[in-house]
Amino acid sequence: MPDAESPLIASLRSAVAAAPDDVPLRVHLAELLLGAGDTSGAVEQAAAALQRDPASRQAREVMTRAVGTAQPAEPEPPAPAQPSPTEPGDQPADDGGAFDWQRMEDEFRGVVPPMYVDEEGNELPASSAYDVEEAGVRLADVGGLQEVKDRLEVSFLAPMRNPELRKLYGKQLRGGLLLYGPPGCGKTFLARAVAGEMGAQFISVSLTDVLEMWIGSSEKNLHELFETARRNTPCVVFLDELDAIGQKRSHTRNSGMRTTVNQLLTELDGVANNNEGVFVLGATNAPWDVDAALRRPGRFDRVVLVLPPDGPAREAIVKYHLRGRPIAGVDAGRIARATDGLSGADLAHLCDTAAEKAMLDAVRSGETRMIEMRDFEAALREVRPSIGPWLDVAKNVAMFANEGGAYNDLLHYLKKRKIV
Amino acid sequence: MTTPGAESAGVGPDPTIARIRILIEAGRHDEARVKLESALASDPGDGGLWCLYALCLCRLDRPADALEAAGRAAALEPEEEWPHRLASIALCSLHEYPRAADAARAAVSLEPGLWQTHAQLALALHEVKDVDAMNEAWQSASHAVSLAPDEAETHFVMGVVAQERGAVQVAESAYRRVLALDPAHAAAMNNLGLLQLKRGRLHEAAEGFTSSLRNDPNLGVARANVDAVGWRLMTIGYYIAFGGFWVLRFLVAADSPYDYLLRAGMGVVLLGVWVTVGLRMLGRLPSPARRYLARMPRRSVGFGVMAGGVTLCVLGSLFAAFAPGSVCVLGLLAAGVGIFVSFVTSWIVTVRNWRSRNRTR
Repeated sequence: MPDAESPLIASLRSAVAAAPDDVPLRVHLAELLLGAGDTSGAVEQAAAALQRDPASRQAREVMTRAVGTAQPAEPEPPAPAQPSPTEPGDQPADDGGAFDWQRMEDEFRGVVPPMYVDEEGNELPASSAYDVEEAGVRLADVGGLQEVKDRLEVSFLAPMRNPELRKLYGKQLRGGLLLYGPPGCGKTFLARAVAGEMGAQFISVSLTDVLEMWIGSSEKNLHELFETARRNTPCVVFLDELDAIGQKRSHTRNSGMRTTVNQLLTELDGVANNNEGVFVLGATNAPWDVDAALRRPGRFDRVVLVLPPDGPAREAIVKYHLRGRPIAGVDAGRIARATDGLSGADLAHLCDTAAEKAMLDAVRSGETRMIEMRDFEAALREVRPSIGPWLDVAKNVAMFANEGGAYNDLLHYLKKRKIV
Repeated sequence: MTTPGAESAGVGPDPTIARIRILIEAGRHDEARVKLESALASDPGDGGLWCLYALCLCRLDRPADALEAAGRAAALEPEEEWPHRLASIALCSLHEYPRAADAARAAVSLEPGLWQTHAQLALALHEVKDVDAMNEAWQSASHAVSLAPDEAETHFVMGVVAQERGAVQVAESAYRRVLALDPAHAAAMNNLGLLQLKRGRLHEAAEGFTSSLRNDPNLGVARANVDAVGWRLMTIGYYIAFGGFWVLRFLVAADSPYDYLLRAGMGVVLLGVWVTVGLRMLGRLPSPARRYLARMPRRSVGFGVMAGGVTLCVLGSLFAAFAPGSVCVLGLLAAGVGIFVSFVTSWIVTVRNWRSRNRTR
């Protein structure tokens, strides 16, 4: 077995520093460290591996062995883990055998500082929300934005979920909903969540699809897309960047885009086809640039404003973007309070900037360290809200183009923030 | 300023170019730029691509780079007019108007039958601010109109040149023609509003600006013009308040036996004037403009202070008009303070605006 300072372990340490998310590599290093008698080093590496992949059996095994090795150092043998009947969450995991996870956490606590802390520096439990990558997301997965979720429920989801009531009131199982708001505020994610909530299939189309695959045959492709949706009901067709796909025809000199808008109108009306069970969701930053015909009844007749994330959502987003990163003593609640007006994309940028600061520090000092609150404080001084230009145009829309109260929600928000 | 017909390049139906055109049309200039840079890396000898790149850079407000790209395009395709026209557009953005006019003249010489070349020449020349250049601009704009009488942009250019030349009637009829051809032309609505503002028709001006913003919320200049309507209204209010204050001051100083009657009569007249002006001016404004202007004191400190000064003057004057002789001076004092504050504020705002305009130039 190599000793703790052997070239092999040193080279593995460098490899782990270069690829901190490589769990098997960390587990291998932990095993070598354990073999070399560096128990605390092995615990540290196994813990970091478990932080990245809590389901890793190898990491758990190494951790079990490492903690088992460390056991003789304890002055008294620990009491066997007793499952508490009143606190099922505290029960030890089955797959760990008789392993005492609580004791492992106690040991681990001394090695790595807590990830999240409150204002007084007390440890807070880490939680995850806003998982964009997971398939079949639901509204409950969207952090915060309660008002938007309520509106979606009332205007769109509740009628769809109650077939008897729908039949009673003669409501057809079809329709369109337009999500609009500043860029980077989770419209696409919400659309996926709506599809997940309805238990429907999800087909997404963006301007990139139109550009990359549809040039010259957009009518045919759009028709085929709706046909696929009709064959797979209930199905949500999501049109991202609707202002580009369905831009005002008066603004388009290019006949290709004009025909796309015309075909879209035909498909939405479904005159020759039955659109029962096909829901069309659109997302746009600029609904005022969408062709007016697309917003007539029966098409995108319901509109929901998706605003920058509120406090709880910001906290969830920050935690999401810090998932898998080495953090210590980060008060996500404080960051959320200091980032009012930032979009989800801005928050991602904030987390990246904080990570860059820690990394730069590590490069300069030659010693790796966790991302800490001071990195966020420095990042907060640099990152500015990106939705300013959008708000500028939105102000004009709310003040001068709010015909029939179409943008009352927006006006209300701007008034609340004293922007108008 | 729009670039009339800038997209009408002689590039073929290449799918890459088609994609780039769609991106430019959708206002996604940054994405178009990236695609163009990649296309130019593999085919740097395509003049059409350089032209699209120059157009894209113009829209991204990078005129110096656009000028360079247009130069590359002109070198590759010397017989094409578009590179020269794009160079002229870029030079206009760089405020180099005589050079912009030369570039536009080169475009005209290559394509004398194309209205876009004449329109660009007119736009470049009207910025030179010189009598001869203005006459030539007028001729170019007229020629563009004669080449394409059913094209809204040619009439718009005619309107811009006529407005600069002071031919208000011609400008107005040109803008009305633009709106007949393209009812959603936001820039024409805005410019028509400016003509009305100069004539003192505030409600018509406000109508033009609000319609312009309704059709194109990105047109920030139209909102600044609504602010200008607000300042014009404030100035009217200031003069009325000032006049009322001086008449009352004269009446109080005259010490007439009918002092109270005269003052009260003046108070009634003042009230009548305010009600009439309020109903006529504010009542006829389009409701979005009225709502917007109602919040203006909160947005602009200068406007807020001036509004406060005028209000104090009006209230003080009314107090001086209806209060007994022993205390009416207090009202006059308050009115005097109000008018003084308004006067000083208006000067500060005027000087600040004048300096800011000079800096911009």
